[in-house]
Amino acid sequence: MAEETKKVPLSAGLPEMPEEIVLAPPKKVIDWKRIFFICLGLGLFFLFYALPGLPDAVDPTGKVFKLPWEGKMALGLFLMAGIWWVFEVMPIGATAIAIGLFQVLFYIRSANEALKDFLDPSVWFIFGSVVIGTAFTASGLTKRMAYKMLDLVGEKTNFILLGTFLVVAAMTLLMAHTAVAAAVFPLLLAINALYSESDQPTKFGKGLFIGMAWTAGAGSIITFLGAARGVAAAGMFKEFTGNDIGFFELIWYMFPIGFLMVILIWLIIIICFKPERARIEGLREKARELTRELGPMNNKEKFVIFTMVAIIALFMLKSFAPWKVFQDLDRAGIMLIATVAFFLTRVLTVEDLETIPWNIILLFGGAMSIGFCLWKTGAAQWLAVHWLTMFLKAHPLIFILGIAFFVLCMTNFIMNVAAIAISLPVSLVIAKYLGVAPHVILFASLVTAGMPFNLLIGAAPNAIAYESKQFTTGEFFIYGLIPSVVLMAVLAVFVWYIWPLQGMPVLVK
Amino acid sequence: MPQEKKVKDFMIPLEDYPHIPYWFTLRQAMAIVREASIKFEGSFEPRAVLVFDEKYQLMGMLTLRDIVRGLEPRFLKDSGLIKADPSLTVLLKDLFGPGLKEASQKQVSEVMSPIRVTVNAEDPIAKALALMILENVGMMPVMQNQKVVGMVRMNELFQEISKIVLGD
Repeated sequence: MAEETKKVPLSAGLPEMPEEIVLAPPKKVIDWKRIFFICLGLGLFFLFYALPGLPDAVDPTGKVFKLPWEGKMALGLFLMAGIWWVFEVMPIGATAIAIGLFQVLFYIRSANEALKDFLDPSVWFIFGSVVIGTAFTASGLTKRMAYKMLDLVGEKTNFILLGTFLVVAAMTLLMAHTAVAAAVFPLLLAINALYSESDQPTKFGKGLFIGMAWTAGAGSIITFLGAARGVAAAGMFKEFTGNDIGFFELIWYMFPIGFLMVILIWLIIIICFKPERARIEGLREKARELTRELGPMNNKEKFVIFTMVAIIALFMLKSFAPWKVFQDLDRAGIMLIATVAFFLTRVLTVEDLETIPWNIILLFGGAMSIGFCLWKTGAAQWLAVHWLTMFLKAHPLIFILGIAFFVLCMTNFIMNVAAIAISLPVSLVIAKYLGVAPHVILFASLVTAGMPFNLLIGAAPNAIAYESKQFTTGEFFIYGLIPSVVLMAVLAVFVWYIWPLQGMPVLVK
Repeated sequence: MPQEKKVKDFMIPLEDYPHIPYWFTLRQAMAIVREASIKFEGSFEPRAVLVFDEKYQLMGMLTLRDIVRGLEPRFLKDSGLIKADPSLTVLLKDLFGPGLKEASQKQVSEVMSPIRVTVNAEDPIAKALALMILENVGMMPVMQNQKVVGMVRMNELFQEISKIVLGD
């Protein structure tokens, strides 16, 4: 069927339609930055490979620490992994696999040692807590908690901020802070849409999202469920010192400082980002409507709550019951009860099992592996003795805060568990020389590891908050300095006055 | 037994669709869609706009779904970390809230469906159908000697299947 006249399409902004049309070729972009950092990481690793040897470390008593070949390689591997992690040259979980691979390829540690760390009981605990987070979401419980928040906060903007921060922190007691941030984020966006007539950033919006990210971090230090870094650190701590940190021991020391930080963050937010308007009219009515839509609790939600109560009860028994059978029960075992129970009762299905974020699980495996690698190869000791001279004349408090500050800087750049994996082995050795108890080092490091206030890459909640487009990375960095300084001051008070009152050993007599 | 029908028998010429460049805004695209529905009133209503680059090469298509997705406020969007929650629409004052006007200023290249899959003019229609189901698309470009010669849509192919099933 030949056309008499050539048909002209309805078009705008384009030249005349050509006779022949081809598909636009896909855009090929070479990511030079990525290639550069891959090479930089490998370059550093092979630099250490090529180095003949590094100077021995001598401690004050005159004992000489040689850096074995494996230790030298462990340092190179750590630098490579650090660079790859910071610049995300590939998924962070894949970088973790590289940590295992390089240890095996270059005979830094045997495959049996290097790769077993990836499924250490601590990693299983993390797996279990990820599954619990999935169950909260799949059953609709997360949504219910988030909507409940709206019910509680009322219509005054200052109290909306406070209520939001308290609920976010409270939710991090039970689930990973990343999951909490992801769950409340859409709701906060909706609240912000009610507050403002446009998409332009407002002070209230800045405060709401920045504060959400900060308090997710502050709350996550309180229990082992709030973030995986706590469990990973406790696992390493047990390996290095033989002491285990109980579930409630962590809460006992962390709750006061975590809660105090949440309140202080609220104060900082309402001073720095004083909302333009005092109220959001009609929020309460809409909140009621939302809750009505949700309806009564279903059986899945009830079962998830029941399981959580059972798990917390088992942790209590482990911590307080005088029976050996409970005391020796492994943390990971208790956590995995929930995993199996959820699948047995079909709260979760095989699709949920397939959504497990292996990126994160592997990351923690890799962090455990590099931490143990630095420790077992003697690299941590060698580093510690070298740095000892910096602290020999220092007051123990300065040393503890120095370590905490180092972790605070690191945790802004790399995942907080990696910051712990690097600093803990080294700082525990130095602590021995200075007569500082290992406990205080662990807790102080965990406090700061959980609160990267300055950079988006420091923690997933920071990145989620940034999605709101309410603030710039520059603003986040600058305003983050305030709570960081406040945190160091608060930590100093806790280390020197409050934790000892609570019974934490600070100095070894 | 008739010859099995080929994709080219159901092809729609490219000029039956509105064409726009990728730097247009959603708002401009919507104006084009409205214009097209007036122009083609009754006969064939295009359900999509074709998006081209400056060399008039086909980059993608913009379906009504894509336009709506581009206009949605952020809390209704699913992204890697964040789950969408349609219930939250009760919090909105009006349709899609205050960001609607601003969202309509987005470039179409941000929300269009890039061409993921094509079919050959000489392919049997069963292949075209299988690809549509597999890739979850409603229409695809038809290629002949590396050139785009038209579009094929689920609509026409469905009518053909109906004929076979219902024995017309």
